[in-house]
Amino acid sequence: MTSRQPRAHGRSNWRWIAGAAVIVVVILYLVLSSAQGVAVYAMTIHELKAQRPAIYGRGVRVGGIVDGSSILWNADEMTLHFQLVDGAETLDVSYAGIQPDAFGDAAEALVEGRYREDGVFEAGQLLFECPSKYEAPLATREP
Amino acid sequence: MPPLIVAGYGALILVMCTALYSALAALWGARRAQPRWVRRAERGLIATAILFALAAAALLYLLLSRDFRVKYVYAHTSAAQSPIYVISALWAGQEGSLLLWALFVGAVSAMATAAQRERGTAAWPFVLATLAAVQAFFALMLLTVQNPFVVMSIAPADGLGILPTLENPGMVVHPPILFLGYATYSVPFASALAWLLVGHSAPSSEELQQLRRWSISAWLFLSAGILIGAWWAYTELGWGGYWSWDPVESASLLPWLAGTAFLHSLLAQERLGMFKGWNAALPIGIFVLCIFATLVTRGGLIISDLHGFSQNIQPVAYLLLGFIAVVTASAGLLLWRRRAALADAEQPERLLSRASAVLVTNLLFLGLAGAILLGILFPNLSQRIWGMRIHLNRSFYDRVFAPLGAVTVLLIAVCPLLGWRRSSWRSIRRRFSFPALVALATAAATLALAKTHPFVVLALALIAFAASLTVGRLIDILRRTEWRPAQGAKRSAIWMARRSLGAQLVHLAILLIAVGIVGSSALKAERLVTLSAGQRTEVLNYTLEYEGLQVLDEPARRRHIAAIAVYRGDARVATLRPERNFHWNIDAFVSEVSVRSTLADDLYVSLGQPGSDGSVAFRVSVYPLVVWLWIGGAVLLLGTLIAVWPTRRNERTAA
Repeated sequence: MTSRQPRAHGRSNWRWIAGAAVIVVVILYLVLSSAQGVAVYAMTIHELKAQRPAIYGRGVRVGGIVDGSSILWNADEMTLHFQLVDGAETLDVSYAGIQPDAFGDAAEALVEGRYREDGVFEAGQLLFECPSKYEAPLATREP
Repeated sequence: MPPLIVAGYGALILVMCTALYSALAALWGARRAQPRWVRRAERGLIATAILFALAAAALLYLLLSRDFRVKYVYAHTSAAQSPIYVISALWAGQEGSLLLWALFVGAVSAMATAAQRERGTAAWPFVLATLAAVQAFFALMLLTVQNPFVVMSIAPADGLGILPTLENPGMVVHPPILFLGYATYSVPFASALAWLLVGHSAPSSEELQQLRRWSISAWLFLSAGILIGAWWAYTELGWGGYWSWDPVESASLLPWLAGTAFLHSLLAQERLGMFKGWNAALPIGIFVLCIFATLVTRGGLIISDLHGFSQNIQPVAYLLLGFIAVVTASAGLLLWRRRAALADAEQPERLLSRASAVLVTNLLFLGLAGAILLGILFPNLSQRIWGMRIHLNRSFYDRVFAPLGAVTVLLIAVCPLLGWRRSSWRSIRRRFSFPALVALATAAATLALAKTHPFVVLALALIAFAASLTVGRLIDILRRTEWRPAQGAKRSAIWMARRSLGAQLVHLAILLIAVGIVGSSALKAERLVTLSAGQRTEVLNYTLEYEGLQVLDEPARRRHIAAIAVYRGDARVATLRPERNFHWNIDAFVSEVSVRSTLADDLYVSLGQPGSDGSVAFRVSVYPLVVWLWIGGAVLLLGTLIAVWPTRRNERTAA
């Protein structure tokens, strides 16, 4: 390691700060420019219905209990239809995918997707609470 | 109260006492300059390691003997469970995993103590005191809010057992390795904190080597833990993904990113004496992030989809938050006080130098870590600020990581070509010609084989460019070390080469992992189909024929096994057997996917629910190039081992 005269730090510090600033700005830009696309609002079925029509098309995550009697599997379209129940509120959900393992009557589910104008919630993901007696993870996320 | 439970809990109480004693003894020894108190503190740290081991052994024995009076044993084992998963139940639950974490901290502290015995310095007592304090903290958590030895009033006949999803080799291996990584970072943390306390701002080459060795070892375990976790998710959890940006996953990436930045920054300090301030702060930050990761996993403060939805703040969260707050505040204060001593005499001057590249790396990786941290905390922050929980989905992470990942690839490509202080653009440009050809060839191949976004083509071309330069460098290193004639010179050349060789292998590994990530996410194809026996479907260049369903009754479950014939053109290449099994004990289905892996792609089939007419639903996915992720992972671990392999003393002196 050579011994150097302490140089005027001004110029080098400026570079350092500029570099840091560039990276921060880039990240902020990447984050903010896609704000609408990346935000997923968590709400109850009640809140979801109360926020129509503004909420149509926005990324939303809603929780509830699966009503077993409402489960319909459309084999031609490969879509799963069911109703999510939260207290007095119900929500029609449509999910394009095979039935996840934890799916069934009385399963606690989170559906993530968009609320369509025709009143059906188009779920891109179904997420399930693990059975309460197990604290271990039960990941049944379907992309 | 059964003796084993008393022994286990008693061991933890003794840890607390001994650790506090060690910390005070070390500080007293430092204050009065009395080495024998420091020796006592060292002995104390050996004792705490043994005591933690005793506590863990007690819990393990209770698990193996299925003593269901103990709440932890009841919650995580059952009479019929196979022994390997009974052993892994030690870290399946919160309390046990914290005990394992603590045991590892004890073990590495004891190792550090034993290794350092002869090398007493002014900072040494403070290293001991810090390690002892950390262990006391863990003992506090285990004695109060995370007690594994809680006994219930009645003894149930059988335990709850383990979830079928967790009966997987991944569960056995992933948590311990991850905790070993976290625990090993406690030594660099203690060193850095001690040096700050003592005002030791110019560590010797020997001290830096020690720090480097501990940091690389910790990074090795952390990388292995993360990779195994991803592999486990991919093979077991059934949705074809290895990473879902779940807070618990992402939190483990935070110390990894900071750790990677630290390794590069440490190298710069070794060679140029630069980045003293960074290297004082980073080890402390890394350990705080490890504690933060534990907070995210166990604290109930951050909601994780995979681990439960309701925000249920556990008491342990307050202890962990307290630790983070105290350490961050103290470290911040110390860094501020020592800022004059930590200021570098020399700054990176030229943009085109390795020193600048290291600076950029530091900023980049910390920026990435910051973005992830934002993603993890966003729901909590948004609730405080706007009253609504807002999650950031996958797209957020993809958007941040894709371009910054490209910058990382560029850095990997160019950095080894740069001189430490300056380089000439011309000499670098000369090295580009062959790699540029490779990049063009890759771009052409990608365009020919897959219909995809131009960015993907660009990404793969960039990776090929970087890989070509890295392989070139590897060949250079290997060539250079072979022909040294003199004995002493050859030894030192190999020693220096071991580090560069390991580093270039790790860089290459990152590129391979990048290939796996780009291929499997950008080029993937998925189809949902309903098939009756004999029907066919096509995905990419595979044809699949559903042959039939077999139903098997086993004591624990009813198995439904589908047979799928896989054809490439007319040739039958494989038979896949995805399953969907009904487990009696949890009254639910558990799917097992079936995967055919080749170097080119993975064919991944999940069995879905049956239809009314005997047809069955399937999800068929093709993930191109994903196996390179795992290959890259293996190369990463190999490269790190090579880089950290201990040197013999005569090699070191010849350097």
